[in-house]
Amino acid sequence: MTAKTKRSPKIICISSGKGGVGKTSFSVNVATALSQKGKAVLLIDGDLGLANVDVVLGLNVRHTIRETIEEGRDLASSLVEINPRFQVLPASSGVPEMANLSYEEQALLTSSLEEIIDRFDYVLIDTAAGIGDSVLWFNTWSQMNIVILTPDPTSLTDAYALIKVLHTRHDRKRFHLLINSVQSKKEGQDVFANMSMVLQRFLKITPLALGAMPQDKNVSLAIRRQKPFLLGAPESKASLEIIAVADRLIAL
Amino acid sequence: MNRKAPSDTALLYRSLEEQAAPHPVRAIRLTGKGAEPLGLLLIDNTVSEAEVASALAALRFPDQTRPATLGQAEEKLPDQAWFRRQLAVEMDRVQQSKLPCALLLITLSGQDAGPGALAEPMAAALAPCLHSGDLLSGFQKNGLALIMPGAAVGKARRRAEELRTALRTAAFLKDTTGVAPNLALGIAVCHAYETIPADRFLALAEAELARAAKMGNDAICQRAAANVEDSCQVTVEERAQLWMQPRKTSRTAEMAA
Repeated sequence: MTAKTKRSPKIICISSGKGGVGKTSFSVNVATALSQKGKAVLLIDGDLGLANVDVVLGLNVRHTIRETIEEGRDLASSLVEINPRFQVLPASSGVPEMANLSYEEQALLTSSLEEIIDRFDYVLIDTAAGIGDSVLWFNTWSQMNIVILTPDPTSLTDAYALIKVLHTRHDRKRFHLLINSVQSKKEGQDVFANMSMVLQRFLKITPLALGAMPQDKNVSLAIRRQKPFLLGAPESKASLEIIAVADRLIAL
Repeated sequence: MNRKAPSDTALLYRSLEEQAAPHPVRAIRLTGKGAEPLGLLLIDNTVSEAEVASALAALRFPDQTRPATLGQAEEKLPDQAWFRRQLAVEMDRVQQSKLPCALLLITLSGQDAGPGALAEPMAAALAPCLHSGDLLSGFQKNGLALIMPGAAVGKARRRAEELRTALRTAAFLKDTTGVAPNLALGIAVCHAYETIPADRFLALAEAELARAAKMGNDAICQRAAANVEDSCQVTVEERAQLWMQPRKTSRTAEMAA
């Protein structure tokens, strides 16, 4: 299997501030796109207390990150293979304790992850919404931070707040913005331009544009079918943009 | 380790830490959740954070609560002067270890007791809930101060709730008659990215304690010790900038359509 070769993976954290903006759908589909392009991808469900990568992919999960934290179980045994180049590390759902890992537990998770990630080219982390400890920790552990937002004022504010916390308290400076659910290409450009202007003015940060995902009924349809829209509707607008985003990630 | 006075082991570790301070090493105290400090790791300070974190992660200790050895007659609860010294030491350690530190202040009012008469029974009631590394001392007339090294806001809040439950069900409160006692718990938390003096940190916890006392109902109030200039709150100006442009753009786009 390709994923057995030792690699130096690129660790990418996908966060949003606000919930329900499409983090998991984006993560699952961009991971699928990267694997289709020959890259070995690990998708970690970073929403440790309310996981749903497994739901979006229709997986029957037997073991999760929780067993590693609580029982010291080998993390590799929890991996679920989606295709030969795409594996998922699922998390637990409905376990409040997992949403607030202690520093010792974070250190244990870090060392366990470091043992498995060198099999992959890309490690994507789909975090929880909000600015909780685990969200901030995953973001600081990663090499690249993607922030997903929609044109809604609530999403803009929460995405900005997340970036502000990561910048002010954790010295993160490079953020890639992915604007989701845009009605037109221009709306995506306007939202990015506005967010970019506010970040530059108040935080002295220049964000990078990763893409603008168009509103597409195939996205919600795919979630209900528990299958990536990239596979269910490969010619859809959303799929074409996801492929473009995957190309940009590879080019970075 | 006994809560009321540092144990011999703790004093030995402190002495070793002081001796190590002038040298190019980091001293990391290994405190599991057992009854005693488990060791002191002296490590070359050129070793990367990641390697240290990885080494520490391999050293996991069983999750145990501390045995209830508190409140024994031969021990005395450390006073405020001791507490202030320890607070200063722990604040320095936050910078060194990059781990947060929480300070919890607890007071009890509405009890017909003389100054200092309640601190000892309160400390005894809390004993089973204390973790190794916790530093408990007297505070004001009938209060306690608990320094919780390594605790961030979430953990400090959970532990405060646990301690509040222990106090509410304590025998010495059940035996009383008359006015119902009121607990107040105030928490302040500091992180390595905040450089604040111990006095300011204590003042923040006191402010939260005062807020909790005012709220009544055994309230717990908390805040992180971020300076105003470090605050991450999204300001009115930032919100205005964030919201205005997309709305206008959306309307313009709609009109154009």
